[in-house]
Amino acid sequence: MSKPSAQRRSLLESVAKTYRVDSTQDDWIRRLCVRSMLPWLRAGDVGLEIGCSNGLMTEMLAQNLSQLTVVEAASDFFQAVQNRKLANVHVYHEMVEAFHPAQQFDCIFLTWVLTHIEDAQGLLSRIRTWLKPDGRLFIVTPNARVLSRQLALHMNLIQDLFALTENDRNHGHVRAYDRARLVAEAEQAGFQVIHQTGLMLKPLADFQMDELFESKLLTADHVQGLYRLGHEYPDLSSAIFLVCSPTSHG
Amino acid sequence: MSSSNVSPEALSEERNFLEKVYATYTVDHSAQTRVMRELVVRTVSPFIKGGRALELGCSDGYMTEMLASKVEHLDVVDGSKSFLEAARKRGLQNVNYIYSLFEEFEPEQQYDYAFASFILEHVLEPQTVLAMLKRVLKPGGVLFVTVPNARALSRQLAMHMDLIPDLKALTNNDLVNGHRRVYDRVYFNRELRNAGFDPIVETGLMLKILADFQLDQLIDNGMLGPSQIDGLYRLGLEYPDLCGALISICRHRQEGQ
Repeated sequence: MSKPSAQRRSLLESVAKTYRVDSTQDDWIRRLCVRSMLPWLRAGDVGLEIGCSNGLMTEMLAQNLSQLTVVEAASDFFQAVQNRKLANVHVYHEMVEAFHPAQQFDCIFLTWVLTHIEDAQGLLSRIRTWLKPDGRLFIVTPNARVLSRQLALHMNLIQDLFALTENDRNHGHVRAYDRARLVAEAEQAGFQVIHQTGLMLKPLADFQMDELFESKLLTADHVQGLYRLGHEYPDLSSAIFLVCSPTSHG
Repeated sequence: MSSSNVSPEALSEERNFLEKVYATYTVDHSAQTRVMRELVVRTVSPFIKGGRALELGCSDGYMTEMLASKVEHLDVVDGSKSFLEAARKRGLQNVNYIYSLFEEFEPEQQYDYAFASFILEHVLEPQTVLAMLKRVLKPGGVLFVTVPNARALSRQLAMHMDLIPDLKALTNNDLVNGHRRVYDRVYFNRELRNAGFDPIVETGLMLKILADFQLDQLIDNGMLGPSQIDGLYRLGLEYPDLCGALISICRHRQEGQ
């Protein structure tokens, strides 16, 4: 680890306190994320979720798995998911860097986490050993090329699509990915990317999207449309969605 | 000799149609229509220096006024008397207003520039109008054509929301606005090429993220201010395919070329 664990943990705690998990569009995209995962889940699968945020996805995923283990470092998020009292979910209050599971999993969910991790290769390599040989890793990260960010670039609000904005730093992001970079990251760590797409084409910034939802100028129908449009233009979507399997050793 | 492919009966019907449809046109109330017209002028300005120009269709004269300030003389042709009256009220000194169908327009002098903005999607037969434009432009004269884009992002969203069956289908909004067809880039460029025009610039005007009524609200309530509009315009140059409108700046092919 390149940063002392205590410092990382306190950063996570402060990020968790200010995270906009109650935002309408964060809610939508997490639901869409689970929807994209469901066709890949098999009956009886045992899963691991790394970072659970407010537990919305945890609850939805748990309904489609026999067992779900969660590792979450931030106290607020740990408490939020505990409060949901999910019978087949076990939550560890721990930094993922310090986590050593006793079993292997059919599926591992790493959603909106990797951009927060200093040593992405270190984590992905460890995750690889936690996955059954026919298991699947789902990686979701924000997309550096999302349409709203390209607009910000043209408005001179950011200097470069991969430059971290103040908003990024406040959220504890340490890097930005586009699809090519994320796929390369996964492949380098010993994964084969078997499916890649985008989650929800996002035309405007988060705060504007939230306003449009609240004013009903954007409705549930628009969300469905933007979700489908994201499959057509993954490059302009809010998040990158990868399904990976471990590369078999020759 | 008439070069029109359109029958006299059809043109007579068209005359009545224009008076009926455009008596109630409300172009000046739409913020996004205003913005699009400003962006047309922004895009064409670097190609204009004085000279005699022709504008096909003047609507309420918003664009007429902007164009008139950039040329020495501007002739405006419109098939709707109410539009001509609206534009005339602006009191522009170097503008001459002519009541005629585009198909029947026969000027005494040729022009350095011709502007056909949001016209081709309305007319009975685009090739007839383009043939007229070819005749009335001086050799080396420049034609500026703008049409709505079938592949605008907002329209692709509407398709995914099942609001339109396919991108080329006419929406209710299209029909209300008197549109008879909708172009994508390939079809648009082919139309111009078939009429004997070669492009200098082919691009898009403003990446269109949402539908007209939504953009109107967002512009009016300030969420899309001048810097956002400028950003969407620049982004549109990167993704012409997703823009609200397509623009082609072209010259007609000379003999022997």
